[in-house]
Amino acid sequence: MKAQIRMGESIAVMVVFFFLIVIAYSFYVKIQQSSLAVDIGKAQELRAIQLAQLVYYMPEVQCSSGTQLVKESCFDTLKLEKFKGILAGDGRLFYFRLFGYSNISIHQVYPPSSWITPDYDYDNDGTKENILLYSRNAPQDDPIRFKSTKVAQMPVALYDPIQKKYAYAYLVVEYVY
Amino acid sequence: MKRSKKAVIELQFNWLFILIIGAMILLFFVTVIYKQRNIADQRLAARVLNDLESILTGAQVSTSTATRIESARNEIYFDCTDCSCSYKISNLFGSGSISYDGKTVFAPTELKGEQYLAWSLDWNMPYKVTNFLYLTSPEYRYTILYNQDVSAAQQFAGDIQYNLPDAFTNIKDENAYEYNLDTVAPLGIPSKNSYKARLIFVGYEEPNIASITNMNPLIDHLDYLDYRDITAINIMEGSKLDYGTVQFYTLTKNKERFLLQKKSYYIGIAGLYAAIFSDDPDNYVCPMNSALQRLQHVSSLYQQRTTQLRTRPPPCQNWYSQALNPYFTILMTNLNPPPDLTTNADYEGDFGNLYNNAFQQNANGLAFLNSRAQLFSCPEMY
Repeated sequence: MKAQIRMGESIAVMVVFFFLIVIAYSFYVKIQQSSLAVDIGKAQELRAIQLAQLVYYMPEVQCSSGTQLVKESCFDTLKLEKFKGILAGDGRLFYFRLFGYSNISIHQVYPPSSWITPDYDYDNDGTKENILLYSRNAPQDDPIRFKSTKVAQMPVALYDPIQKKYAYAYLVVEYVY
Repeated sequence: MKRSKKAVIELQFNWLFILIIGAMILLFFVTVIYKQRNIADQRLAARVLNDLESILTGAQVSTSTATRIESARNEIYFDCTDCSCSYKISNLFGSGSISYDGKTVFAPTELKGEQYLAWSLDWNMPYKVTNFLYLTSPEYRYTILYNQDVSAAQQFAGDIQYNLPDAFTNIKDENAYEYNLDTVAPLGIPSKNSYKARLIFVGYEEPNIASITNMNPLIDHLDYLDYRDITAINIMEGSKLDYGTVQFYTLTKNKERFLLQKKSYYIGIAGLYAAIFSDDPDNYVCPMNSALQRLQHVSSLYQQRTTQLRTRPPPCQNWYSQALNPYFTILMTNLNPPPDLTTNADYEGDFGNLYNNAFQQNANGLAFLNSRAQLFSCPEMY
């Protein structure tokens, strides 16, 4: 009888011991997994910056001279205008693979109002000028994805090759993931 | 002193108890170690994935750059089945396949080794269209063999090596080998530890390649590899660095002979390297088709831009008018739809003409008009 009680005690201690270890370990694994998810998620966060980089150096918008890119951080306004048309037309499907669900716009800072090409979309206040180059809204019915937005901004010069004038602007990329 | 029967049973039961509990504790810690290892592997794989994504984006941005990427012993699989191109990292459970997202990446079906090699090259037709990114591994073996009966083959083989960056030692440190497929064994091809091999034939015809059997020292030399791990590409006679025809080969079971898998074409030296580094025809034609689609959009953009520039006064107007018709138009119409590389449509005999008419002449014409526009301080066409 005594031996049975002793054995029962030992088993109870072991059960409690294992129970505590399992709980502690499951917490540890959860923390590890969430930390891993953060690492994987960083790739998504980087995506906005990568997308901004991608647009920044696209031959479709960049100022060029032959095959040489003459000015870095420079967008040709004529190219922007035509590219906007292509993105809304024939190239819609093709460039969706590159840009995904995102909004890409160029906001002119200086001069504030005298820039004439290309056709601008206006912000809500009607004063600042910006070129909405690409816009694709994410589906709203997905319960898990497309709940976060990351924004990346980069300064850029706008160049009008006809008037041979420059303007200061910045590129805004909003990436939905 | 003699123990009672009860005490003996208790003692045995104690030992049994210790054994069971000990086994459970051991099992528990083995599980913990195994799980920890998986998590560590996944963490490394996630880091490799982030690095790779950055490299892929970087390749779209900067050109002619070669880099080495630490792989942390992760394998990457590239697949373009049904032209839905994606890649997958071996240790990253649950991440699924990651789409190329329209990027022009050319890689073998499997990347393995401690490091990967990445190289980007711009594709100009004649204006810049996109950058091609090539991925391979230093442990992937490449051997160039040229046909000594074709006068330009040796020079061509040398050019393939010469234009590669220094980091690609797996191709650059070997010489192009003079090799008669019928009689002479390849001389001095160094034996190396590699997980895959690709033979790059220059200037041969299909019967030459098909005549290689497992009795051939060339195949015998690669006996440590499975037949699925040996592929070949033949850059056919008459091909140039600018354009040409390529044939993709695989080995049959038991390495009996090479089997022609697909015949295709390349445009530009960047296209040639794309065919060399893609050991599966789909891994070549699908991203290449994507590049041709982009060429179409970029050409359309420049055409529209030039149309608008035509409102400029003479002499600028003259250059733009001349450029619009026929140059841009031909560039677009002859390639719209582009020579569909995904089908087995055979452009044999005509591809050179197609290239010469559609690309070379019009590209040269455009380049001339663009330089004239530049000379007269007119806005350039591209």
